[in-house]
Amino acid sequence: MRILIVEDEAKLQAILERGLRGEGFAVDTAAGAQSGLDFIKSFHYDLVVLDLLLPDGSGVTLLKHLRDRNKTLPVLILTARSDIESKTLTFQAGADDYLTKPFSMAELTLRVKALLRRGSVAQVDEIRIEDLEMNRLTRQVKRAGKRLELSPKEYSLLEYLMLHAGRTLSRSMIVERVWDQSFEGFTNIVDVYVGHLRRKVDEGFDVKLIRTVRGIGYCIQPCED
Amino acid sequence: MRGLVKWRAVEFRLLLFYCLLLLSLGGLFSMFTVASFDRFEKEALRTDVEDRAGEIWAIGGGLLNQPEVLRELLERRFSPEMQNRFIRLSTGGHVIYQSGPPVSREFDPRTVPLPARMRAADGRNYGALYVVAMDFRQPDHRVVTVESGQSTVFVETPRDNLISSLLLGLPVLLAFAALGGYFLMRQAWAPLSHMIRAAEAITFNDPHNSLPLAGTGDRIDVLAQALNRMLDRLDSTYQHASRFSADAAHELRTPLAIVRGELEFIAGKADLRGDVRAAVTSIGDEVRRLTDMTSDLLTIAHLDSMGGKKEHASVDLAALATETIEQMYLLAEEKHIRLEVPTSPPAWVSGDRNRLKQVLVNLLDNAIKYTPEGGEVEVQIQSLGSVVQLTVRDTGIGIPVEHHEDVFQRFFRISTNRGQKGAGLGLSIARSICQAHGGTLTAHSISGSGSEFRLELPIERI
Repeated sequence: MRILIVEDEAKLQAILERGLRGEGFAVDTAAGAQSGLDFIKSFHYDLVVLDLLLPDGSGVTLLKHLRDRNKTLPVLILTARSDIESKTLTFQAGADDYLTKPFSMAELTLRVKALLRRGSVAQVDEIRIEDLEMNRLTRQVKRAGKRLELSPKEYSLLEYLMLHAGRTLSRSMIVERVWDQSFEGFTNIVDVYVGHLRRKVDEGFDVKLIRTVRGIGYCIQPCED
Repeated sequence: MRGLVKWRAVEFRLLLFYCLLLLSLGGLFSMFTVASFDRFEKEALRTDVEDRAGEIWAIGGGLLNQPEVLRELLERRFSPEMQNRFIRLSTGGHVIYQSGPPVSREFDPRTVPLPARMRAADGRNYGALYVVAMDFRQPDHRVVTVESGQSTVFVETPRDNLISSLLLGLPVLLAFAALGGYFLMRQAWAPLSHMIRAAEAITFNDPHNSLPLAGTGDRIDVLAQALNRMLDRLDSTYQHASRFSADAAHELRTPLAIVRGELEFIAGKADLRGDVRAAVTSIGDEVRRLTDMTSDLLTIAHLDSMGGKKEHASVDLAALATETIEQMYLLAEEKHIRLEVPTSPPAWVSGDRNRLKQVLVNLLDNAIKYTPEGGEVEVQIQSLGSVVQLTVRDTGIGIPVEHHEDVFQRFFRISTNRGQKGAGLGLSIARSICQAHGGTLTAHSISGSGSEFRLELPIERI
């Protein structure tokens, strides 16, 4: 997998490069919008990490040029702006995901991996992990054949975890998808809801399915690494 | 000009002054008119009566010795009984002829005494009778006094009529003038009232909005221009300030990202000494705190510059509260806090749904955070006249009265406990959002028995 990083701040570029190389990706770096576009024209990339604020033009413009050439290349935006309006603007320009500075490298890695595997999430009606079953049509969940009573939020949370089974999901990813933008910064809500979900799903069973990934987020078994 | 009459307002005082002035001027004018009328009438009466005395002498002067002929002539010529006239000819206290009482009985001729002193053209009033006495000398040097009189009733009646119509007309005139003055004043105030409405509608969300100019070139226009210049200056200061804080937050975030990246790199090394790892963790915590603060600052700067309200949609506050509570319910349940969904009819307000929800999330999170286990958090929504009021009441530690305003100050904390998450900007952000929606957010609580946050937003006009 080959990733292009377009970031003008040299130190941040180095951190990104080091982090993504550490995860086993092939990484190229560009320091400006123009050189970034040149790289994209010359090589094949699987993903682009793009800073929105570049010295020679806005990242949004570069994104639009890029979208004209390649409709499907996943783009992860890095920005200092966290307001809903600029977020909307960026998604409209064709970004796939969005990360506000300062971000944790672990979070970035999770999102990069999620983007690279995008599309592999099957639109299935039934998901089964070990003896945990979810029917997405009837919204029923069973563990070892016994029905679990879940609140709508608990159901959404479990659904999100199960659809991405085996992958670590960060707290902010969970808040963004299961709650909404109004809850930004209230990631403690995730811990509370996972706690409750865990009591309903795992209590009384030898195999604990929901796993906490320390300092990052949660994952439903079998987790990688 | 809304509501009741404001007694001390300039409009009312002007009107009062104007009416008093009109009243005194009208009174003076009426008095002058009545006096002139009276004098003119008396003068006319006097001339009339004097002329008649001369005429009486001319007719009767030669017939003093034939009283019967004299009476017949005088009565045919002057018909005193019918015309309310008084005629008497006398000499040396002896009456030669005296007219009888008038048919109208306006005066009694017998009550008129004989003239004591003889003087030419001496006018006197005897009740409703005006009498002039004139002396004439006979060829035999006998002095004959001719008295000619006329009832003044025909003079007084029009004068009384004049007075009563003036007395009646003046208040009516005054009432019309006051009403006219009031409407004229309203007319004059109209551009000002227009300006007041325009000024109230101006917020910093749309800086292009300025006060309308009537184009009349009067002082109200000049005022509008001066206010517009002031608004421009305010606006540019405002833009500058919010632009600066936005830039500052931007510039802070990139170095923070680098610090965080490097720290994580160090923390990822397996061979760290225990005390070094503790130090790295501590720095990490502080970086996170700085990060939260920067985020909140950026949010505030953004709210300030955008006015927080960009999207105008109809939002049902009751449904929004229910939805938010359902999404946060477990936070309360975790602490065995009773938190119930409010039962209230839809309460529509106009605004940005996400921002308003952010306020509710903030208020609920605070309430749950500061309420001990087993407590209660209550959300109530009601429509009060032109506003929707939402209250979040808890049974927590409460806020001392002296800090009711402080809690909305940026970076304010009651306790210096650093363990609490957040930078103390949540309530400040919430209030900014409410204000941008034309509403208010206030704290009402008693220390020790819980707090109540009251959110008021204008009801959406349909």
